[in-house]
Amino acid sequence: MSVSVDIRLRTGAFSLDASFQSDAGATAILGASGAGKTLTLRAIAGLQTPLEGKILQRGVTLYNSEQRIDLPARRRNVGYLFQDYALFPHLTVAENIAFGLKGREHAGQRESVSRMVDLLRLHGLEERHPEGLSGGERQRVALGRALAPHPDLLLLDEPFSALDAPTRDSLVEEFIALREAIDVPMILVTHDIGEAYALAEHLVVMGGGRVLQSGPKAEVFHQPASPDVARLVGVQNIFNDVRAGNPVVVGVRAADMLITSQREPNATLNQTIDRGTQLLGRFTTDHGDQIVAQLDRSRFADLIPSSRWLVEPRQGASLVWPALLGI
Amino acid sequence: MDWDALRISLQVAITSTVLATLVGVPFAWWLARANFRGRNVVSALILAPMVLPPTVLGYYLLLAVGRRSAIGGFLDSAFSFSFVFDWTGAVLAAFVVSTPFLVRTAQAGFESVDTVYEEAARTLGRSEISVFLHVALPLARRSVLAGVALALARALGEFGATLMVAGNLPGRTQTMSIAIYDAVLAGRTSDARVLALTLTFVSVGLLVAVGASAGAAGWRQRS
Repeated sequence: MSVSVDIRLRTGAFSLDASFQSDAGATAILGASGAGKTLTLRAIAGLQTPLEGKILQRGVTLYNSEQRIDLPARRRNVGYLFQDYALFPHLTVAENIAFGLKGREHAGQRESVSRMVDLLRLHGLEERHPEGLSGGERQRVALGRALAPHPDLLLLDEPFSALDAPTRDSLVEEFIALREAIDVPMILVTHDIGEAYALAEHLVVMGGGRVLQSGPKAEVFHQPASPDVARLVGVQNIFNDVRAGNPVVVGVRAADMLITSQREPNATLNQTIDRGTQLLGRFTTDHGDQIVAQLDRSRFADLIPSSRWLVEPRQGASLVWPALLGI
Repeated sequence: MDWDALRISLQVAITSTVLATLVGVPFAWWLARANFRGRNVVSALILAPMVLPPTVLGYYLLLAVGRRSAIGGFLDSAFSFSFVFDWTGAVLAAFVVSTPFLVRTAQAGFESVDTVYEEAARTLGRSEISVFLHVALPLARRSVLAGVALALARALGEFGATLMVAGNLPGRTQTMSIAIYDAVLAGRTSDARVLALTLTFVSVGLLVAVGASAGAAGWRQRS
């Protein structure tokens, strides 16, 4: 078992009860803000002490309340990439990267720093202070600082959220390439399903301080265990329905909604949202449900509000949960 | 007039400030980061010497370290040492009076630094001492230096508590502040004038020097 977490933790009014295991090279913890993702990451790093539970990493116990084991953060050998990077403002780029190498001989430190500078393309920035760096450069320095001491586990807290969209896209690509070069198991926290899916093999979905679902990413993405998980993995349409006489909750992605005008219409178009890359239509069904559907631009050039359409899920694309799970 | 008073003043103020820095700065960091129930009470108690009249403090110090007290009696019998009527008594008085200024200023400085830097240092394998010396202290250095300057100024000017504990022995415990008082009382007005001007220059000069080093520390970061 690569990483195994089972902890109870309380800060102020918030209580966390997180339990998951992952063998994957990269695990993503996905959830909305306030779900307890960062708190879980902090507990793994030893920056927050749980009330009780266990944290194991490659068979090494980092925390075990029953055995009274609580390794201090400095002895967990875990690299942590903070959300705003937390680069030391009083140190240069080279000094920041070397910070975790204290106690090693000077030549070894210099070699490690220059390896990180090569790996993360930081040439020419070594003597600069973090103040003079762009967001992307800061992220790479922070990554270099976390990786230089050869951590057993890399923890990344919203690694791309502080960046603008173009920088983010190119860094996500770089990051995927980097993973092959460094071979460190990692856990990343994000609220973005696209980021989670692109970077990780294992998904842990959290909500309200609990783990809602944990599994291989394709399984979680295509078979969300509940409507709450479905929402977090990007299922836009969730509504009540009746199947075979039983009340159920149904989830359908916007891309899996079919729009036709031939047969008997069942919904009215409220508005269209043109996102440039995507054209979305917002409909109200005759049952009163709100439905978002992705529209084919070539077929639906001009859609008139209040026009009537037949809106139905593509065959086999509906996710169905028992009604007791609630919407 | 002789310059013993200036020498004693500098000796007392610098010794007191060095001690105040060694004890007060780590304590201020601990207080800024501590998270226990009585934290606010401790924070408030530290400031008590700032609001109590120095003579009152001096009186309490005499009670605490005088020859008839437990501590004073022990020091006297074991080491033949006493703070009373000794320059170390002046250091003790200056330390007690000036340290709260340092702790308060430094604590505010540490509190204004985001704890995330210290957390980063811990995840990078650094011990608490290293976190303090290499992260917390450099990031709060302006406030810390300001606190040191305040403590030094307060120690140089200390009068009431010093007089109560160390007395007024010329050449041994008579500091500048006390010498000025002594000169005025004895009607040596020109001595008083020279002493007052000297103390003014020394105090302001020290503050400027500390301010300049704080400025230099800040400049290094910006460059």
